[in-house]
Amino acid sequence: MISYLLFSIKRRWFSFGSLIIFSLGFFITLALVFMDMWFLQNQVITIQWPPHLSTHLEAYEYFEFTDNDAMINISFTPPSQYTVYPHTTNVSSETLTSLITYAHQRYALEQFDTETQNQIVVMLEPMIETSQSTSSVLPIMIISFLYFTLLGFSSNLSSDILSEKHSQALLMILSTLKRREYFLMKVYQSWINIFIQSVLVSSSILLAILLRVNMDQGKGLLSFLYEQQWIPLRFESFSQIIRILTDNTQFSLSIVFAGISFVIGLMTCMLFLLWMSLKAQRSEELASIQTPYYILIVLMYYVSLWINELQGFSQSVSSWIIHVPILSMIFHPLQLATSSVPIQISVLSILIALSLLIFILKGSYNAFKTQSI
Amino acid sequence: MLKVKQLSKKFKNQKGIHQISFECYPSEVMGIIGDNGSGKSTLLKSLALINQVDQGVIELFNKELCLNDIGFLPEHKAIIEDLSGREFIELFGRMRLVEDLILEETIKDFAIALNAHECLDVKIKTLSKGNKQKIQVMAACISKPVLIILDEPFSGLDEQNSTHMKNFILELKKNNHIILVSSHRVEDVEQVCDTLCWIKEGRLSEKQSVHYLKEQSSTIHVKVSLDPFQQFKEEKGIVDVFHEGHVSIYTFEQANLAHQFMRHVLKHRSIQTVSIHNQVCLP
Repeated sequence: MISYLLFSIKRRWFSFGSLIIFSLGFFITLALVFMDMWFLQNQVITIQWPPHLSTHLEAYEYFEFTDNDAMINISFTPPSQYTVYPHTTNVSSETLTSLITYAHQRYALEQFDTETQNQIVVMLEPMIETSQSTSSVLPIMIISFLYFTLLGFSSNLSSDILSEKHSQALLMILSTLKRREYFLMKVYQSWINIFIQSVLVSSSILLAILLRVNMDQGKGLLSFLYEQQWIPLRFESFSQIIRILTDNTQFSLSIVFAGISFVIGLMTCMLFLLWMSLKAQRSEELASIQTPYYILIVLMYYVSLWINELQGFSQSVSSWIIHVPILSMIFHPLQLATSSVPIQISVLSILIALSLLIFILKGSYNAFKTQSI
Repeated sequence: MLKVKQLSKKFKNQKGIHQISFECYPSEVMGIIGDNGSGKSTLLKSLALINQVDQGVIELFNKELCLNDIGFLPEHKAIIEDLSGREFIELFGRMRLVEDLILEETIKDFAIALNAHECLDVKIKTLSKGNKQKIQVMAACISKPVLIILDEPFSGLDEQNSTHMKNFILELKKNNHIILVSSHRVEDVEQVCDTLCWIKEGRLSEKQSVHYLKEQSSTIHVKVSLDPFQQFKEEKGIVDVFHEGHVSIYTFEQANLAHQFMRHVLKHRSIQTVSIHNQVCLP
């Protein structure tokens, strides 16, 4: 059994196609970790100054111009528009507005003598035009990420077994391995494939992060993600996140539980799809048998988005939906993005999901065992 | 000794095998003859423990048969096409825990017996049907199991490859294996089999020795090569004639007329080979 397991895994991963996919994945990860640089190069912050104050054009002179490599380039378009090109990773529009406001205040105040200056408080309220979204992006990102991972992996087990069945190679294999051994080997193989995929993705992310740490400790990226509302808190560096995670044991545990919950759900979906697909006598039948599953999964995706929008994940719906197997694989990690999940709730949810997994495992094995090949 | 008792398997469409019992001894090659859909493959898959049976017992030397004792060649091409021949055979050798040195030796010996050297180091998808069959049979027998089950091993093989396969089976027979060979044509297997039995609608006849069946048979076949148009069909004593490619087969009921016919045919220069043999008939 081990020989065939090693053969299957080697065949799956040591191929030219896998190398291309992995390289592509690494470059995409690299692009994501450095995306703030690209955005900033193309980012323009326009600050619309109140027209009745635009007479203080001279305030513009308070900005020092050096050369094209300056961190911040500001241009002024009369009568009242400042255009800012922040070629740095840690400048927000608020900071720039304060800077310009301060320049104007300073210019205005300098028109008075020192004693008067100390008695004057100037209030300027410029209008800032930015294209920032106000909705929370993180839950949608989590739902989409989990959904596409589920979609990508869930058919692996069934297509693997069915391709061997329909190519008749299964006949030769089953003359060497017992059905139970073969079935378990395929289940282990799918687990190992998920693990290898996770390790590869994690290594890509880690490598990209290490490159980023050398540059600015990740400050620019984290600041960018916060401004885009993709993360709920502003972090100063990657090491700060690691510190927070190591200090907050419950949150770290919740992440682990959410991961376990997702893997259990994924395995359940894989086995369920296999169970359904075993009914297919020919490869042409496979698509029609699997279609209802994919419709259900798409439905789950939209329901997840809808519930997220409706309840904001702090209401009562989320507290019971986390106990529903399959759905828990999405809602469990999702809850982490919005609120903390008590450990006992996580454990109970995992136990319920595990019970369904064992039931589906037994059912699909029995269907496979009794099937004539 | 392989002992099969009351083996039954029924499918939803009522097809299957019913109450099959037989015994087979070491160094015996047993042929199972039957038409398509008669239950040959179901029987062999059940004997190879691939399909669960509804009832019955299969024993090998008075112990329950297990997978390690069986080498199985399926009827249809059951091969991983993107591997080389050697990789495919090695995979099955390793799955059966054959040591690397023995594995290499066995592959070498089998390749000589089957004249399959050239098939070993090229991708299987580039091989002809006959060569794929050779690779598959090598993989099935790589661990030299006691019981070797070959489902239609001659299907799709040309004359030359068919001869190699027959020699290979006879070589296995010398090494005390119990060999079961199926076919829907008696002519394919009678040269290698010691015993034959027929299967029809899932029921197996009693097995008979090929020698006995030939003695009982009154039918004589004369094979004439390079004779696609049966140019001798008007000769005296011929009761039937059919052809397989460029080979014509003339059937006689009287031995003296068959021999007379053979001598007549040999006078023709265009004929390359002529062979005569008793044909085993369905009981």
